[in-house]
Amino acid sequence: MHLRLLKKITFVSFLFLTLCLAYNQIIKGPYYSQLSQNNRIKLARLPAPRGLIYDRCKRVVAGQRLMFNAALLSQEIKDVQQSLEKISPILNIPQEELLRRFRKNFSAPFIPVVVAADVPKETAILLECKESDIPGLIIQTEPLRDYRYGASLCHILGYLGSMAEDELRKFKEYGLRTKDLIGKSGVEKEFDHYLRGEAGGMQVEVDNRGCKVRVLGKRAPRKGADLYLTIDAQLQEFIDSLLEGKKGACVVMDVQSGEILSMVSEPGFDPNLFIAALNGKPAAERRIKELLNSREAVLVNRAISGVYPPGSIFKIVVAAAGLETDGISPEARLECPGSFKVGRRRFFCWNLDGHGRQNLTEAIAYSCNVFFYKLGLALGPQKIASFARKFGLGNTTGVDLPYESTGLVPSRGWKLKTYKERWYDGETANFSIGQGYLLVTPLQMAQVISAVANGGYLTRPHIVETGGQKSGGFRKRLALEKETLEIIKEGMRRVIDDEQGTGRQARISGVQWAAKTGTAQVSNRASHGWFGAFYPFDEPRFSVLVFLEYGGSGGGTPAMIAKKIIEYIIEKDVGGRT
Amino acid sequence: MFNLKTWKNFDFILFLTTVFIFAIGLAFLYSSTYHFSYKHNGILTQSFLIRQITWFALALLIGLIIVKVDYQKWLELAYPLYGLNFILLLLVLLSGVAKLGAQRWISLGNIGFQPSEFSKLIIVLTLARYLGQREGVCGKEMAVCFLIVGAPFLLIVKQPDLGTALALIPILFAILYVWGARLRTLILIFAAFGLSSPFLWQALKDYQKRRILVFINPDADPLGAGYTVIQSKIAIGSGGLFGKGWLAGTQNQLNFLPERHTDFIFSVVGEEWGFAGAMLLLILYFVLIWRAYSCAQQTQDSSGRLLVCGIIAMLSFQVVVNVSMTMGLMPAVGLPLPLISYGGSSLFTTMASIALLLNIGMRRTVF
Repeated sequence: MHLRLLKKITFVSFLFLTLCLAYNQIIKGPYYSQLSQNNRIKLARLPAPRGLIYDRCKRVVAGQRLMFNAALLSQEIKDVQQSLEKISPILNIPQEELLRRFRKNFSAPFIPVVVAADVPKETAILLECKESDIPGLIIQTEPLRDYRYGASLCHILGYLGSMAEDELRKFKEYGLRTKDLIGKSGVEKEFDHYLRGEAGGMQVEVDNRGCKVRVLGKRAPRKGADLYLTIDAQLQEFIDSLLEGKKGACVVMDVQSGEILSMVSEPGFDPNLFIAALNGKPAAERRIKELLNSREAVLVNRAISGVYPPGSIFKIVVAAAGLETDGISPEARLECPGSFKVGRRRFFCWNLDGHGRQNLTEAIAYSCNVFFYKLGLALGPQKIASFARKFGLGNTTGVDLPYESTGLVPSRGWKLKTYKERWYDGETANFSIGQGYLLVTPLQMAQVISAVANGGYLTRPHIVETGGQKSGGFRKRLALEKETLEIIKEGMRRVIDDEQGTGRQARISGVQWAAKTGTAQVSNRASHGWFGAFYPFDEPRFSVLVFLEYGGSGGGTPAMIAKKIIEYIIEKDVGGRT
Repeated sequence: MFNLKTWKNFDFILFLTTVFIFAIGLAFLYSSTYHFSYKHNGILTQSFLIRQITWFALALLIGLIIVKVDYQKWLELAYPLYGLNFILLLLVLLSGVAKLGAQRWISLGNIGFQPSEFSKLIIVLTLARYLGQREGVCGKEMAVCFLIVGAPFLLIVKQPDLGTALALIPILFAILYVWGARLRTLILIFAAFGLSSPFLWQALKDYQKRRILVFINPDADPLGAGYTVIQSKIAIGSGGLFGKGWLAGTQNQLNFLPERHTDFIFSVVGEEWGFAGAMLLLILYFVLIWRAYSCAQQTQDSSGRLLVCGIIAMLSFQVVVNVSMTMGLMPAVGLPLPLISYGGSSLFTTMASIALLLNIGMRRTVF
């Protein structure tokens, strides 16, 4: 009798087990399946090499070189200290430092841990010989960004760095991870998505200790796309050497297409430093700290991010405004006695003896201030400002580089809003000669010179070739009278050719070219020197803009630098694709 | 004592089921030790498999002896065996070999054995002997039975081997119930034990307390005490309907599952053969136990019947608790799965129990 209850208990227990098995294996089967997959399959990232960057002649400017890493595979090591002890004297790095790096870089037992990145080739070979003696040691090779032209292209190319927190958040959905490098400035930043490529990965089956059992699948990384620049790397190097030790910027631009053949900003830095610092080179880390703390603003690309008063080079814009709005006729002559009174204040010409009576062409050639005070006051600030904007000032040029400044074109409304004060005539006088509130970037001025040279088209400057199509050469017609441009160009020719021209020092015998000087006064310091030129005079191809921060008169050093650049362009026949 | 008539009543279904379960056990012992035998020696040496087969052969031999001698003779030997086992349990505490935080082993030469495993069957035998000779329920007999179980129970808890100790409780209650104790009395006694459990909790070792706490919430310590249970649940669940295939269970082969050739071997079955394989095994156990029930029903002899019921309680408790523990339904108390888990002592005990069942079945028409 009593057996019946025991049987029931047995039966119910087995039924209960059956139901539990069915629940766990059938209903929750997929869930546990996933958990068991997570247990055994781990992913290892394979970083993608970045695309290469070439100049207009297909010279590699940002390439790839192989670096040798000393790495330890922890799943093959019983005693890490023992392995480190053996490699420490070869690498000449203290054992504690190696251990610190090992702990810091460790991610999984089957992924080699880099303890010394980018070791010299000789050391790598030495280690390779001892590989069998040192358990777990692996000499890895890894492609590394290599800036072949060092500092000379630094502001154009930019540099690479590991992601900041906000960048990580922004790029996470594109599959980027903490240790990935991204472009921090220049072309590396602007075209990062293009150069970056796509990281691959390896599915690794691991056991309970996380050690590799076998590789299940592999997706090869996709290399980033290559990029072709409009820059001529040799011209760039040449100009960089001309500006060596100075502060300033220089732009050489194709006036028709807007292609930038050279863009130099000094002082610069070697972008390879940042790569070295990422690989734990203490000297490079120290140097970068110095750069970041220096007051020279080394990382700033002065050609597009620096804003300065343009000085007399702005007279080109005022002259165009005068001629276009009938503020002055080409023949009209105005008297320069050496100074001019506006209200109660006297404004001086740079030539205190005065230029006498002169027309617009001569006023440009001699850069007469009084002539332009008079013209400017006749036009008023609003007309000058509207022509300045027409020539692209006060707005970005749209160059394909990050961190471009807009500069500033003042107006009555702007003054009222900013200073709660009305506009004075004295300020109009200053505005007419490119002083006062007006601020421009060197690239904006190169665009102005190019517009005069190419027959009145505002051409968007660009630095990356657009793969055959001319969309990079976007241009806007300024609708200027042909005569207006002819007069200005003639004035600019005489800047160099005239015996009294402000740029006469830059004359090159047998070569016809044109320019405008600018000397912007800065309180208590040496003036900013400007020199904007185009060449050849008859059928202009290139504009050259030289700007030196506190570099003195525009007709001095800047003119001489421009002269050397023109000579170089002629000698090397710059502008081709080979 | 041994003639054709008794062999006619030999329960072939019970015997074949036993062999079948053991064969499945061997297959999974091979699978669960495949990884390290391969990895550690380079060549495929199956010391686990060879030992298990050796023990089985020995167990068959012992079984044959047990079957040949009338179980009444074995009942007569119950008290001396009980005494011997008691001494062995004392010896374990005094000189046993510590394994996995517990002293359960006595070594003879280079083989160790676990006296606590044998205790289960010997106590069944002792209780059947004692109660089989007494009619009519009275408190004195029950008190003696509690003493018979209580003394070795305390020694086994002290080792500590909680799983085996707990297995003695259903044996005691099942035998008392079949003997004729009133259900209400048994429930009251059980409740009294339940109420005293807080004091028992104090007596537990830290690792035992941890296991019970982890049973309540395995995620509290996923890499420590809860690890085995979590990995075991993953193994069984990921097996799905038909499993990942023999030798292809990733939880098993990649070493995620600890103790998988002993207490957690059912997880390997669940992972590699899925629901189908696990059910096959459960059904085989059910058939085995059901044959034991029919043996009990056909036996007129009181002590024989008590013996069969004690064995039923012992085997079904082990199967149910072991399977529940692999699914995280009970704390991981450490109880082997009969006939399948690796281990000689457990295999001998189970085979001897089944031999006794066959013995009783063959001699049921003695009267």
